[in-house]
Amino acid sequence: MWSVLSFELSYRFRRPATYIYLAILFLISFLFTATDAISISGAVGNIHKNSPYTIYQVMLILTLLGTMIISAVMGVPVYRDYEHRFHEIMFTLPVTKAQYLGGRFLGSYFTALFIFLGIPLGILTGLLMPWIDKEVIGPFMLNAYVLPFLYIIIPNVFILGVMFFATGSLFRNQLAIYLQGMVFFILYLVLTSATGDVENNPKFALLDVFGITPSFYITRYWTPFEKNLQTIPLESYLLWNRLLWVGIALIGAFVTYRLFQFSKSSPFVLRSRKNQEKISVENLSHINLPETSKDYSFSTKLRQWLQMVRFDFFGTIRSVPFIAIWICGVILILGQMPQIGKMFGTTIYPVTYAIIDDLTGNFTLFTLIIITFYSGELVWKERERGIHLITDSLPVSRYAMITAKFFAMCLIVAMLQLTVMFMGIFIQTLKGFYRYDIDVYLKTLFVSQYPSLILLVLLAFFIHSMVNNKFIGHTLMIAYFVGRMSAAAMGITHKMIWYGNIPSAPYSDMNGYGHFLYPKYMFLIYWGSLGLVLFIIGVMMNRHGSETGIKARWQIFKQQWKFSRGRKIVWSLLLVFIVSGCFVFYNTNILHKFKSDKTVRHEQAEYEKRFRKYLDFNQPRITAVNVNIDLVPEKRYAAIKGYYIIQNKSALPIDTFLITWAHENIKINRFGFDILADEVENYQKQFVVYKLAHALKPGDSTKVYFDIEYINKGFANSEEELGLVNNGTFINNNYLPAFGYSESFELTDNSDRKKEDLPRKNHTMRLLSDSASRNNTYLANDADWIRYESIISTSPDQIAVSPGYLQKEWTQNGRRYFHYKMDAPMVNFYSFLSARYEVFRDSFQGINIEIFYHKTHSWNIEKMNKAIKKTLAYCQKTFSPYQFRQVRILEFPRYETFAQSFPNTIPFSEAIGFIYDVSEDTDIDNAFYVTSHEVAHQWWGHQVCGANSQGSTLMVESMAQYTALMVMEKEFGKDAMEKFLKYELDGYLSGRSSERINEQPIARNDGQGYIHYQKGSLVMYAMKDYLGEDTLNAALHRFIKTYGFQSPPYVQAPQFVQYIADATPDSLKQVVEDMFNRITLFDLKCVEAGYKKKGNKYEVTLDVETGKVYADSMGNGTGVKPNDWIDIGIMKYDGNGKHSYQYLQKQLFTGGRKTIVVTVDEKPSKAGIDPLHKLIDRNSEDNIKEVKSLQ
Amino acid sequence: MKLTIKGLTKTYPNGVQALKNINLEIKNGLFGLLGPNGAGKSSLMRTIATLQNADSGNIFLDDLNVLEDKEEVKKILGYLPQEFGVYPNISAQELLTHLALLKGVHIKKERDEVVKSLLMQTNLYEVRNKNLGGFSGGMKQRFGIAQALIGNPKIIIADEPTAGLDPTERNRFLNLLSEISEQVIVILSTHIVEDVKELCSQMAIINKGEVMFSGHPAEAIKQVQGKIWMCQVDKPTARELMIKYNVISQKFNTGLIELHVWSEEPLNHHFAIAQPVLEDVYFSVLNGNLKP
Repeated sequence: MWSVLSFELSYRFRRPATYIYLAILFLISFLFTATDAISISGAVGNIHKNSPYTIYQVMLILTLLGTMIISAVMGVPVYRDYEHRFHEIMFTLPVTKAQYLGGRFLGSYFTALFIFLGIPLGILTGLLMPWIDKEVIGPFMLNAYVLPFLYIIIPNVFILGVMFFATGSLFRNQLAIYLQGMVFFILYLVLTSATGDVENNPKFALLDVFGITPSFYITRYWTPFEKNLQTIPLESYLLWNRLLWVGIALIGAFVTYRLFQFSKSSPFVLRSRKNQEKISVENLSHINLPETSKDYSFSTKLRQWLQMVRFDFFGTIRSVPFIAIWICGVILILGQMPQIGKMFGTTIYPVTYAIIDDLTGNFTLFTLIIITFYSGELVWKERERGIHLITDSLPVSRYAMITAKFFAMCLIVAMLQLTVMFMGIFIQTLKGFYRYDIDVYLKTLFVSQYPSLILLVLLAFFIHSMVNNKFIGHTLMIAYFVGRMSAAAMGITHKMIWYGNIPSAPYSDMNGYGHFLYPKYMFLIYWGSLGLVLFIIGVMMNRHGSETGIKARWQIFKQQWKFSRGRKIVWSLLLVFIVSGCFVFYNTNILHKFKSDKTVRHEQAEYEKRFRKYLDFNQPRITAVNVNIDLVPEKRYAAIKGYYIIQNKSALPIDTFLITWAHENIKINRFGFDILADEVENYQKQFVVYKLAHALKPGDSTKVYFDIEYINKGFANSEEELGLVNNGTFINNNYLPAFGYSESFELTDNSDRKKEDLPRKNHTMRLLSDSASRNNTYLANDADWIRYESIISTSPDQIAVSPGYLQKEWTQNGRRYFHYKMDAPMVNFYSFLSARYEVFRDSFQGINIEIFYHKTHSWNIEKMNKAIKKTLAYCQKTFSPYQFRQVRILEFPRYETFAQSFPNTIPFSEAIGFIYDVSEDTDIDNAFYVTSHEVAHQWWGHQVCGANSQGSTLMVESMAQYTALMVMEKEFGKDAMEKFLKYELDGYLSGRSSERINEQPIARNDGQGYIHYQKGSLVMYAMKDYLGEDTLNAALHRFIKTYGFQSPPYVQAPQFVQYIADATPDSLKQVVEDMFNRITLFDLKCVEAGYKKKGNKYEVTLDVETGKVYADSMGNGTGVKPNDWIDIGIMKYDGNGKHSYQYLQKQLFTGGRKTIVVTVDEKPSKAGIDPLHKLIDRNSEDNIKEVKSLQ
Repeated sequence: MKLTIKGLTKTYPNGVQALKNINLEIKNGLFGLLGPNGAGKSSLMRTIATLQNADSGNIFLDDLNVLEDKEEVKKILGYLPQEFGVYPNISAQELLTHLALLKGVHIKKERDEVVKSLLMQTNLYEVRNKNLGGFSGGMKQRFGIAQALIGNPKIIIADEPTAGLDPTERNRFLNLLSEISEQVIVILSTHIVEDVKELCSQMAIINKGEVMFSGHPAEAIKQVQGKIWMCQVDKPTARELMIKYNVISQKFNTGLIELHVWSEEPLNHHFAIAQPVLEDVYFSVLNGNLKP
């Protein structure tokens, strides 16, 4: 065996492929570590580039991507002997089967391990680079490299290696070797999409060959601190996973050994060979070949061309590997079907665009694989089969031959797109949704996506025509894709630079393709003409006959250039390329401003450096807004005229006005004040400083006039104007001027700040101790409560809406006018919307309800209406009266996916809420939830809003969450809340695990969503549980009564927490502290649960463990002794798979293990500690156990 | 028809000079191109078949400039490469029909007829619906012959056409070729001297890229008449003789070794004058005894 092994090793180490593979892995790891060009995952924010977690992830992901390498190395050794017809010699040597197979396998296995050493070497080399930022590197830990190599690479290469080796040895078919890598890759994709649901995670983790799912599962809640210091333990699901698969691999190895035979043919002969050559020797003299007439007219040429297209098209789609890849793609789609059209555990109606998005998201990978692989296959087809000398001597021009192949490829791509369409229709039908928008399918798949795919085909044909080796061709294509993906990271953001970069054209049911197709096609003409030039040059340079050398082909090219018509076509295409290039450039860089990421970063930094001195600069306050806005939706045009009334509310005179214009494409026709003012500084027309002729005295008011236009001409490199659209305009007050310096324009990412020499920002919101932050709410910089009035005009088929009540509606000069006026004080936060709406109207206790929706999106109107009513009722009853007389919901296109609460006006994206399909029993009703959350903002945000400092979102977002939870609990019951809270817990824990700066307790949070939404829900729900809903609500009522519609200084989170603390008995004061002012994590576990029947009652005994940890901002936890009242729950089985509580009460726990005995009436099914997940516990699955009989 | 090759020269990028100033004139009929492996036969044939360019020199088919007007040449060309493959997942009939259309046989009926007849002629008719991937070497070779004959080519270039054929098939094929060659040019390369001897009215021997001889086989034999001597001896004697004499070929014959020796002087002792055959010409040329 040693001789076979050493032969294999010496062979492998002489092969360049070994070193190429090593170099690929080395390079990827190196680039990941030393540059930002490649991001594999792992190192973001505070996580070190060489943290055990990062290194582990890099190795994990690269074994997945390295499947192809493993398959290339491990699949071939035996096959190679057959391919080189060496097997006959080999098998006559005095080697046993075990020696032969063992030697070949081990030799390849060691080679593969050697190749994978490229990863740690790449990382280590990357770390040594002088330019690397020392802040992103942690201490060197040997285990960080050794352990993942032991847990992941050594077993994975072994497991996959055995399987690939087996296939290669038994089937001796290159195709099988090729495909198996892909099969594993697809299995993994299917698996990950199935594990998207948190509850499914643990079980599925065992099925993952690569060990990625169990590893993610173990580390899903790790904090940055832990990621930097801990190595991934080989335990629980990861350990089982490894053992399971190594076991399977060993069985596979044994089976291979048994099945393998030293014989000429494979034990699995793929075709039956019946070589019954019955040669009937006929009369030698009788020879007559019929005369044929030949024709080379255009019509024959066309027929020949069509025949070649047909030949290559069917030749490809009938080939086994193609069908295999295609079926894999279809299976992947089918496998993911349960997940298609799901958001947040909620099913959406499978509207066509959503289905296409989901399907192409999955299928595009296969389309790209097929384009890359089969373009090469087609170009190389004749040469690979060895029939090229015959075909090249046919009287058919090289243009005809290659264009036929090209069109065959185009047909194949079209077929793939049609597959998506039919799968989509199939899925829609299965889901009982029969509104197939065939036009949307055809437009999206063929008008929008198809041309970009064809650009890739052109490139692939060019590359394969130029290079003399298919492998190099494929590698170049992959390099192209990698380059394209990392182009943005390398700072190449202009779409005119990287071939094939085409803007996307999102489809919206409301706005169709809007204005997006036009720029897309301009870029397509630009890249398409270049692609064709490359293609034609490829044709001219293509190999012919036995001329393959570069020199000979250059000769051919020169000859072709001289004599063929190709030259003229190339020149005219180049002309198109240049002219369209100029046109695109004119649009992107002259009509619009193009800024690289670096320029934008630099400008932001410059703004901060020059004007931060104006932070908290004494400025007037806007007290009234009066605007006339004319929208021309079809032109995406807006003209805004109007005035603000501003007042000096300070005790000092104001002689300087600071004006901010947020949008660059603004045209300012007139801007001025009632006081004479000189412009003294103007930065990029975005921040302007005015010096007043005479100061605005304390208490005095004046007016600001503006007359501005937004004109959208041509197109930008990347469309940023998503507010002004043809149908579904949604813009807000930042299209109007604002006062003062705005911190929100500052750079927040600390690595960006470092590059610009700005000090590190440890907080994105201002500190509580910063008293100036209390001058403003965090929503508006320049106003407290305003009066608001607007007149909006739009095209006659649209309805325009803005906060306030409709005073009058009229038509004039073919335009439709709407006059809105608000009669109650409101925050300086308003929006303008216009679309072809259907309107639903209702009222509730004298409050008008209006829902403006797109005509095909009427599914959830009733649900939203109900949510509005229930929320209004709850808030009015528990908090305070509603300050407005109306609630409106308005749908807007899905370019953004949020809902946002403006005074009495709630714009709501078409992608959420409107298309949710909520089947009552299983899903969380997100349409209801989001509506309720937004309506609650009319109180939390529009009646009371925190100061512009840390923790203020607690009073706005967390309270909106709490309100929605309470309303939902009454509507859907406690069980539904349990499920909702489980999502919230998962969201919070994974959110903090990828925190980029600092995690703060909720009362000091920096506006992180995972804290104020997810943790907010958990904390407020738990507080309600401890205090009782009425007690808590009474405190909230008192709070809103004190701070509703307040003047500055604005309220801060600690004051809010104090209201809750005041309502809390002394025994629970600790809880308030833990919940709001600390990052508290519990470790609760039910170790044992059993029952004994006593008479007709049941005595349940529970063994539970409790632990508590306080975490710092990096996630470093310190254990403390718990002293908390925690739920103990005992359930009974209700039938139908449901359990309900027969006992749910709090008991005091002080840490460690504790035995609890409870007597219940009915036979217990499950029991545990904190079964409703009210407390934050990183391992919440072990809270509940089945109750076993102890008798 | 007449094919005229003048001063054809080709050097490969690796420095190998494949063709050195080749001059040939080929008329209708069977033309045999003899030469050892690597002599430049295939290079020459590929160049005539428009699959390779020459560094200098020219080829004319009557008035047609072969090196310039490739498209026109291809219309009347039938080419059987020395080594070739096939698309594995397609049947002989399908592929022949496909090739027939591409060769310009534009009428479907004629196409079907010619394919059928070729399949018969090459004895592939019974396996016409089998995938080519399952063909044996001989079947594949016959398929190659069939495709070269599609569409009544005016010039047929067959590079080692009989390789891999059993004797029956070989005869059958050569017969077919000689039949066809009455109206067209058939160039046939081989290193089997017999093939040429039996059939060709014209021939050339090339070695190391040079034409060593060209003309009629009989003429060739005439050139060595009286210069070839032979003997049958045992091994040790043969070894001795090989040092002393200009041995051009040796072969076993009933346990003894038969030596053929080139000598312009009469030889005695073991030797007798041989009645030369084409093989003797061939070996004389390769041995450098017969100079062009």
